Amino acid sequence: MKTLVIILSKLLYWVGKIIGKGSSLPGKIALKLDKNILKKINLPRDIIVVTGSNGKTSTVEMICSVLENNGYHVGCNKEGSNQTEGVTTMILNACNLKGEVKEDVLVIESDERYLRHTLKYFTPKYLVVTNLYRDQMTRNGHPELIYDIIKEAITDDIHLILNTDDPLSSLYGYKRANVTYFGMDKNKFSKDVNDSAYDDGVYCPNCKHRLKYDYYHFNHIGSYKCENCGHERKKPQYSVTALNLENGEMVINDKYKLMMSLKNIYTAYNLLATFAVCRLFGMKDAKIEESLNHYIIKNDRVQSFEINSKHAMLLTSKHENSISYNQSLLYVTRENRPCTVVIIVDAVSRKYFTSETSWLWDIDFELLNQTCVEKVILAGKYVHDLITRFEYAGIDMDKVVGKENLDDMMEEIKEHSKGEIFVITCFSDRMKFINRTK
Amino acid sequence: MSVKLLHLYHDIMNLYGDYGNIVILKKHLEDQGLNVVLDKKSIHDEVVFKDYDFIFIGSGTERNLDFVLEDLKNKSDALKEYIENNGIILCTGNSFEMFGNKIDNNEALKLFDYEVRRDKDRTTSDIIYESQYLKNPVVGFVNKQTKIYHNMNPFFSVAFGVGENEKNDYEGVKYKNFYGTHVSGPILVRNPELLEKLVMDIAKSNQSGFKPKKVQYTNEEKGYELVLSELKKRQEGK
Repeated sequence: MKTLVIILSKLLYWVGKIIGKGSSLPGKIALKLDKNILKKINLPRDIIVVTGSNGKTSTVEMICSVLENNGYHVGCNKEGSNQTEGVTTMILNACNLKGEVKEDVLVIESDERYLRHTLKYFTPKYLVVTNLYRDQMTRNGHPELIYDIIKEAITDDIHLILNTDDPLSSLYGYKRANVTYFGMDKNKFSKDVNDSAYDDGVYCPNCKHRLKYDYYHFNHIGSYKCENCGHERKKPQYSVTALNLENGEMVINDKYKLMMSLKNIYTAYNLLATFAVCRLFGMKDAKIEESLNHYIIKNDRVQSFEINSKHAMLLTSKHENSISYNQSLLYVTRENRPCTVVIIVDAVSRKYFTSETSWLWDIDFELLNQTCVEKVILAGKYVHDLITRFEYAGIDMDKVVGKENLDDMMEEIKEHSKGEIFVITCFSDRMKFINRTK
Repeated sequence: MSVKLLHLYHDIMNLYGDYGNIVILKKHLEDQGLNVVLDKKSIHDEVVFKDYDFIFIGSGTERNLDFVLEDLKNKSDALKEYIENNGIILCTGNSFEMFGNKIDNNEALKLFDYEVRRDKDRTTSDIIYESQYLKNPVVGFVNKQTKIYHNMNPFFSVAFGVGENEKNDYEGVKYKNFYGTHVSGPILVRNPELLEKLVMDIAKSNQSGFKPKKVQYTNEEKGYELVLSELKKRQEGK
């Protein structure tokens, strides 16, 4: 029976590949036929699972790349679905007909909500939680709820790798021994106050006492301490000790210099998490440093275009995720060149229907209140909600143009944009832009 | 005399951009020529409710709501007096759950006669609600984890999406000038008529003989119409 399920899953995987269907169906059918199929598979001892709100895919890609670069045979769901079915597809595809996975290590990206289901069938050696932010709350509810759901999957024997700068996800390490923390030292981008649209770091996630902050990197990510229950930013074993976003350089533990493919704080955290995982895995620091510096980011979240001989840059961000948007807005303002910023909200999600636009009020569009931002083009179905949000962001509305129709938006970009063009939008909407550049 | 607005628990009950409500309300009152003072208060702060023309509380996580409830219990007599004296309050998201008798086994403020039951699963839904107090329906999003069964005057009837419980017929509470609804986030930004009603109610209660000015808010209107038409398409199964 086991062999049959494996064969069927492999077959469906290849059929799916040929006809261009997603990767969750083979696993779904395999689990229907035998819900304990993964328990019957001989898995490698080393399994690394990565979950969290932001940065999962990039972190998994980089871990795989470094490990492969150093001679490990790695199984990974980097192109597939990160829910239980997708993970099942990947594992059944990786194993032989006897049900043995021959890879040295599996690196698995897991959706936050499905982790508790996936980890019923196996226990990873390492679990990385990148962070827990406000993300897709129309289906996730809110971060504390996701915190609880992930917690159901965390057993005592898993070694946790946590972001010490995030008061919520670092709480998994509260009074726990087998934890490794990564974090970022205070640097020139750090701030004394959190002046974002909301602050999820005012109260301790453990006891609700007021947190005291020394500094903030962005939003509520920074150095905090609860004087009531003792929950605090623990000294990280792996830290970004120097960060230069102008030339895209960062230093880990005062020693290892990495070049960043994307010049934002996000990428620094992803690189740092990768470094921590590979180091725990027993690799030499210098080897990791070398591999990461040769790593060419495969994902296409940032792309360049020529539009009417003007340079345009697409900064893929996530709708319903204010921290993701803020990172893109910060990037634009740091570049500090005369520019036009285009923001498209046409479909809130590509996976489900919603007309919810409350999340626009969690994004710090106030950041665009800079002289280098010479023009703003707001576009898509929800253009009016965007304009209303901008009217309350203190931005000179003479700079702002709204285009509901995306062809009109392209016309506006071609004919009336000023300086460099930055397009900020989500996976759900970016093809609508990309296709119009051709 | 200035109009005084209170954003209560601004730093802990602000989960879905709820602060947008108070921002837009302030602007629209100013557009009516009124001088507006906005106070933000939170846990352990001294508050004199009767000094205010309007109080707003937004959405929070379940743990934050329980925490806020303990603080608000110390202020419940003054809050009751404010409501009984026709003070205007808007509660969005789960915040109006605190005003009933109980949330599960935890005693609540007991200002209104209902009990709140927490579910295991989250209820999320785009909604269209109708109200006897408004000509046009209200649009928005509900993101909650509770059911309430009550015999009070509901704020809304459900045209599309979820209601207060599995019957999906009514939603929210309206008592005197207390408006409570599970719709989360900037409901006033997204619903121009509801916003205008509150602006007029607040202005009139602050100044006898208040004369409204006609102000056009084109984008707010168009944003509302778009969402309503999207949700109606959904309702009709298109």
